[in-house]
Amino acid sequence: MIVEIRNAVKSMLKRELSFYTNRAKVESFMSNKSVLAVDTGRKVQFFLVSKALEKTFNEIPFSQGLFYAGIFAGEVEKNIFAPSLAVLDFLSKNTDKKFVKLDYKRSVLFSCGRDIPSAGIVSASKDLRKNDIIIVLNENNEGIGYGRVLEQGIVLQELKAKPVIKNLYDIGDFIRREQGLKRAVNKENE
Amino acid sequence: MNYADEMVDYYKENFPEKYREIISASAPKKSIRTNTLKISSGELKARLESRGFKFSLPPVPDCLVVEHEPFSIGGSVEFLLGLFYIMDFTSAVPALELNPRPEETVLDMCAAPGGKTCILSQLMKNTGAVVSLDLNMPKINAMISNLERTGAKNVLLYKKDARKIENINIVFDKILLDPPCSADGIACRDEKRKETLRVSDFEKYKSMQKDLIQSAFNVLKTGGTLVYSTCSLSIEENEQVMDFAKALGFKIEKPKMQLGAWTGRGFKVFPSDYKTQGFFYGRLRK
Repeated sequence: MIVEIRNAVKSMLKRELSFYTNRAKVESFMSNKSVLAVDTGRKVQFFLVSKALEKTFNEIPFSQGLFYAGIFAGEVEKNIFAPSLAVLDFLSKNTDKKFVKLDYKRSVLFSCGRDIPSAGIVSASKDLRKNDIIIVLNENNEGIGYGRVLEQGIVLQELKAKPVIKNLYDIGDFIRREQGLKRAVNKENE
Repeated sequence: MNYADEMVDYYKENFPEKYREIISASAPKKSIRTNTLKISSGELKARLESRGFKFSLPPVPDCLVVEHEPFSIGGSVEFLLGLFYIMDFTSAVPALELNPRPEETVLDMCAAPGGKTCILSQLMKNTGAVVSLDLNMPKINAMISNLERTGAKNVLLYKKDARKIENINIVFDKILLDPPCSADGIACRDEKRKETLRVSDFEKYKSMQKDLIQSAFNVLKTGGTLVYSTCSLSIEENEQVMDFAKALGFKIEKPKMQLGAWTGRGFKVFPSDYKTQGFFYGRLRK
């Protein structure tokens, strides 16, 4: 395991995060922070650390055994970047990209890993196209996950049970991870 | 299932006025603590009540006792969003008593699964640094999820034995020490534990707890504060460890947050006091 400050990957992280929101907002999210990488060989996790945290990290003589630092930004496994809950939380407040907003019942089901039928979508971006990656919000505009559009031209509140948004990642993922299941976003891409 | 005779005798001898309540205590009600990094207690309470939950207010700030749950509160979207943490409200007291300020450097010695660390982050407004150590890998995995979920942003979490940090190179402003213990204070939650608990467990854990206190003494700044807590009622793991700390050079202070009974070394909360787990916390200054 290699644990080190790796600011050289900042531009890669910015590029990945810009996929979900505009570059200026990503710059503000990452400003005054260094990137700490935990490279296990199988995957690389990226953490954003403040100056105070970086100083403390540098003072501690043992880097092995570090499991978490600052803000977990996401991880790269098999060349696929999977953003974290912290990024999702940031994006839900800052996204200017595509989204769908769900009612309470669908939010609960989505958080359990379910895909989304059109019934239960209370609002959405106007120009959703098939295969778009979108942010999924609950009725309080809190980010609860990411999805992929399965159908062109979603009709809101249409009473059809067929999924129109594929669940890629949701806030219930950590419970399933604790049970030994893989991240949905990685699983889909295998 | 019942306590072994030797345990009943121990409680009878050491807590003659409380022993009947200790051995007959039932599982406490579930309680939660608001994640003030994300939401206020009032907003959280209103939001969960709109889902059908009912609460009462315990004597610890930003905590709620769950009186009625239409479904498991741990399965709510609000939990998944990290708006609260499920913990006995007595367990929130040590971090609140330590009361770290923004920009301080704090050590949480036996941190996982992270409930207390999350409170430290809240009190420090996600600034400064919390160095959290633990050895138990399943608990560390749970803590990773908890840190991510609650949005704690000032934590470094290491798998490290807190007894072996003499070379850590940092002098901490404050230290929280909630060491492994016999957990007889939570036997009321676990019928099986009641049966297996033995008086010899107290001595066994005391040895490790003293090593941890010694280790904390070495890395705490002069004038710095340490809050020590256990979910045990035993004299060995609490008062005797506090006495050991005093002999090392710590000064015992009376905590500002006062729950339960003052024993001269710290406050002891019996299960019958607030219908919670049994708990002890004490405050030390170097």
